[in-house]
Amino acid sequence: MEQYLEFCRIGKAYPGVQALKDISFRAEGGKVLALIGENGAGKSTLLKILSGDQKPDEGYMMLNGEEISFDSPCDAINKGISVIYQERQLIPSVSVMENIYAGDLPVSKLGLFNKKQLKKQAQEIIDKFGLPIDPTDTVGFLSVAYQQMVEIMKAYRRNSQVIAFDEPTAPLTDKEIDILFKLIEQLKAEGKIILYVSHRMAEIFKISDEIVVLKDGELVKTLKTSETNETELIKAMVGRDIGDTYKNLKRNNKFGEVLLEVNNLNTHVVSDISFKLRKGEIIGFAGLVGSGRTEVVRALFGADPILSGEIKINGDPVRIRSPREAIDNGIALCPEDRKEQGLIIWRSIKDNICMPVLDKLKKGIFMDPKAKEELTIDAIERLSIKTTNIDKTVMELSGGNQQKVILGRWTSDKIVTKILILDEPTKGIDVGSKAEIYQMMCDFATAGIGVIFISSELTEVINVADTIIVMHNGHITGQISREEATEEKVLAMAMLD
Amino acid sequence: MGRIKKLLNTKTFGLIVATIVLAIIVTALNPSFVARGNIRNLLNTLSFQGVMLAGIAILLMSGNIDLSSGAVAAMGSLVFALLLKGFPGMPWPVALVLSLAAGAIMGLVNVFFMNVVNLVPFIVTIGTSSIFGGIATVITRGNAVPVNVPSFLNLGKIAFFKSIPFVFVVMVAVVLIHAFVLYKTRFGRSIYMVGGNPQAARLCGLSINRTRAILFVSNGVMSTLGGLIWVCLRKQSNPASFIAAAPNMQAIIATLLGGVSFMGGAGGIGGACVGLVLLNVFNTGLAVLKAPAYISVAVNGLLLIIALIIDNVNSMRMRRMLMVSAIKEGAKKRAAS
Amino acid sequence: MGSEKGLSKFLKSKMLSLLIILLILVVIFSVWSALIGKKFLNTDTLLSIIDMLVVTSFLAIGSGALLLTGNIDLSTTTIGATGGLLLVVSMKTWLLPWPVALILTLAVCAAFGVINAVLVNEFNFQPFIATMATSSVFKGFQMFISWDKASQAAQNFSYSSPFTDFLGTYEVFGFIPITVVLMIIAFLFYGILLSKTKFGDTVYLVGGNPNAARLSGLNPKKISYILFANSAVMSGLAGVVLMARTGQANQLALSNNMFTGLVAAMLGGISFYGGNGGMGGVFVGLLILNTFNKGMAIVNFDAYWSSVLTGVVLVIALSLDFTKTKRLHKLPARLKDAEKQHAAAGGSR
Repeated sequence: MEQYLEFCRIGKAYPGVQALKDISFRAEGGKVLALIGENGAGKSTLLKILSGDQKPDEGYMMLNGEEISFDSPCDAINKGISVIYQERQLIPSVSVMENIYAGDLPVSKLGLFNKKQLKKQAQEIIDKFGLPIDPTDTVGFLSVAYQQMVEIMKAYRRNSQVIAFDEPTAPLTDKEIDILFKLIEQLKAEGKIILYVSHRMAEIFKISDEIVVLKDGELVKTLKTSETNETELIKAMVGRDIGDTYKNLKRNNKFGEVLLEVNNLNTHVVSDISFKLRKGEIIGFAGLVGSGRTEVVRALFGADPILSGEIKINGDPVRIRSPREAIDNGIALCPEDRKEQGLIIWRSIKDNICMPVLDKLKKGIFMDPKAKEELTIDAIERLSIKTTNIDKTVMELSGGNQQKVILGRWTSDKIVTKILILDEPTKGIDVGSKAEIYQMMCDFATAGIGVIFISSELTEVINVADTIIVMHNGHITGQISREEATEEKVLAMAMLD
Repeated sequence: MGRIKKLLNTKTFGLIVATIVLAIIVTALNPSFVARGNIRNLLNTLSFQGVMLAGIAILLMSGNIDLSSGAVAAMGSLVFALLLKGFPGMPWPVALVLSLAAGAIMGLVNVFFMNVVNLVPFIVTIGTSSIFGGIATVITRGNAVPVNVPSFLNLGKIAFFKSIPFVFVVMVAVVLIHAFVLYKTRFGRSIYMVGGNPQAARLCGLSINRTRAILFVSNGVMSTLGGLIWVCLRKQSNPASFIAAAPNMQAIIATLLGGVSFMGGAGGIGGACVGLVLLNVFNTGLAVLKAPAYISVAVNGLLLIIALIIDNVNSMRMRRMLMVSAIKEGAKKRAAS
Repeated sequence: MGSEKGLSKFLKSKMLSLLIILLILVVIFSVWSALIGKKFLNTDTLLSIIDMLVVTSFLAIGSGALLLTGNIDLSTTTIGATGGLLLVVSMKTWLLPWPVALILTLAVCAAFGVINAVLVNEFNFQPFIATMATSSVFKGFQMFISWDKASQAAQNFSYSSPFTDFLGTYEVFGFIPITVVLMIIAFLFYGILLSKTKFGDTVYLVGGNPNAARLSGLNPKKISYILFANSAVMSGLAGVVLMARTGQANQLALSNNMFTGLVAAMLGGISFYGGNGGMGGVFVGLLILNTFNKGMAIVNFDAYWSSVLTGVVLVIALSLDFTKTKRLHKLPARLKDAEKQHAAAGGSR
């Protein structure tokens, strides 16, 4: 009997975002189906639904003609679905064989754990895939690639009909990727249904049989790999209407002298980063998640250690070893994860806004409550933060207003911000607030601040920033001006292999 | 051959060597260390600490910790003494079973706060330790309750080959049973999985709460058994002095010293036992050499800190491989290649 | 716009409910003691409650400030006993003048606190286990300085000197013990420090979210070091005050108070997960604890129950704090992470 997995009219909404809308497609056994799309296109939501982590609001899934639904990830696994994430679901301190057979260890006739049998069975699986792993090795000491292989063998052992891979090659070297692909070929030969999520074009053409393209939560196209090419795919992934939002921005077009100069910056993650930021300029950092954009700005801000390289502000070399030193040098960061790194969500708007300038809100040795209040009210009015009360906790605010609280923190008259870094400032906020934040960035630029803007949404980077720097794998792979930039060009640089 | 080689490389082997060397040094400095009386004392101490260690070690492997086992032991063994005192006709094995049941109930109380109220084991067991220990003190008003049942007390005097006490054999049996469960049953293997990565274990269909419940109840029973051995040796139940002696802390230190990870998921019963022997050879050695007590108190703390630092380094290394953003690893590799 | 002021804020505050609990306790014990023919509400009771309050208040201030950043110190009572002993030993045995002895004592305590902070910050120990381990080491030190070679045991010291007598018995205006004055000064000092100064603001912000605080230019590590050292110094002070009042110094000093500071702080509204509550709450929390203890004593409740009650109160305070935090914040990510760490890390922290 033919095996297949079918998604039928799947829909899923998060507060303020329609993550998936009316997704229907069919993945067949013995074939690899690649899921592609930009960040935020809905691939990971779809995987979460498949793995039983989330429930769809609408629609259902069918496996071999039977409708399936899951109460929990555990349930999905029992029903033959294995999703292999980048974060491994392995037990580091335990041997390979026990990880492969976790939850279903072989027992002898007496009901006792049978180690010999386990070793034999595990060895069989390992041999089937032709891997040089000893079943008694401790998983925690294997390389990342082999850990992934162990995870795949675990899925294989469970006899999962469906195996989904989420960006499996990101941590692997080319050699390791070859091994992985051999494994996938083998699974394919056994008639498994394989879903493969990846950003890398070359890989998709190498391994997949069919391609499903998602965009903004909708299914754009289903293609046969043999009948398409890179250009067509990229076109399918991008090419959305550019609203009036960007046209109506009041931009700054007078750039001053060079404000920030970064030369050959190296950290543990990124290497050889060089760029220049002028007064009044907005530089956009584009690239895939994990390409090193965040790490560059964290290093600039003193949050991560810098191994080597030179940073000049207004032409003077500076040393930045901590966020405090960065702030004193006029650098400000609105971090990527608002709730984890940006805000203290249990505390008031006032506390959150006054945080970096406590020193300047003193009267003698004591804090000056009035000064704090004034500063907060000023920020609320300047950035039109919607709140009834300055003592409201930040968690009661909407995402857009939370972002404004962070912006308010860095733009008061008590602090000199020369360089403002915004890491994914529009993530998870509604369209209206997004437009407001774009305009604010332009206003800051007009006021002579240099702005660095990181976003995974290509459209906004290439339409808001004056200069776009593209990163890939910890390197800068291209720099392009807004006039020249198109999504196709930027994406090509970002996905370059 | 491969097996022997492997054994020689383990941490446990290192501990065994350390223990032997230490014993030799102490004996060289003061031969009375190997006197029959001293050895017998050492084995007696090992008996009740070893029984407690078995339960504690398995708990630590499952990623839990129980600081109340000293108080549970004190309270459980008090139940035993009181039953014998209150019902003179009661055969001691009946009292023994009832007191072990009391231990199990105290384990259940701990489980209630962890699984139902959702509190963390560390703090819960500190609290319940104070409660159980307190109740024992309330009942005894700080005094000892004597036990005068010859057939029971004789068990403390029996020794094989004139130097291996019966209670020591009991301890060995308990440890072997624990080792058997740990290495030879599915449940035992699942303890490592739950301790090593609860999230992943859950995905394999293992229940964290159930594992925890079983282990805490069993630890309640084992602690009480340890307490009963102490009663058997001292001929009385004295909760206050038992709690003050804190044999459970010794067991925890020994377990960590023996390579069981504080983070859960790693180590073995054998290592923990060797850790206990080492710790006791050390302490008895200091006593034999007439070193002031403060040295052994301070050194016990230092050993715990050292064991934790080693454990921390090990598990950090392992976790880094698994947890740290896989992408970073890849980027580094690419840069290198 | 603007912040809530005055009465309405007070009515909504935790302080009000604490005061109501205190009032209820007083009423209960007044009625109860009247029923058995005793009197609860009189100056004697009040003075004795205040008397008990003094020593524990130093512990509670140190633990409370530390708890604001989500950290816990289980070595406080050991450090406290060491403080009392060290003062006596340095004055009696080493014949140091009292200012030198006092400074030496507090400096050693501060060093102990720094050791705790190093283990927590540099070696990533969980505060519980770190301070539990170090308390054994500190205990060894404590026994070492009080070691009596002849009896091969740690000594109990009875000691009096003009300085300790003054500290223990002097009464301002003839009726307020100097230690009470010190306690009031300490509470006012820390209350103001935490609520009115930059340092205080920093403590709360770091306690709320160390990551965000660091990225806003604050230094969480520095705060952690300061508060661990402070907790140790305050414990040392508690030991010194206890020594002065009783004229005794020994290992068992403060041993019943291992969790008093912690429980008082939690009762007073400082969350186990950091970032909330203040010194006023700690004071009233402590007052509640001591009123409860004294009340129990007056109605002839068995003193042996105290350890049981400590445990019960600890577990209740924790459960309340946990459910409250959970309800208020619906377990935001930080807490979930902390829980994951518990689960992963021996289910403790």
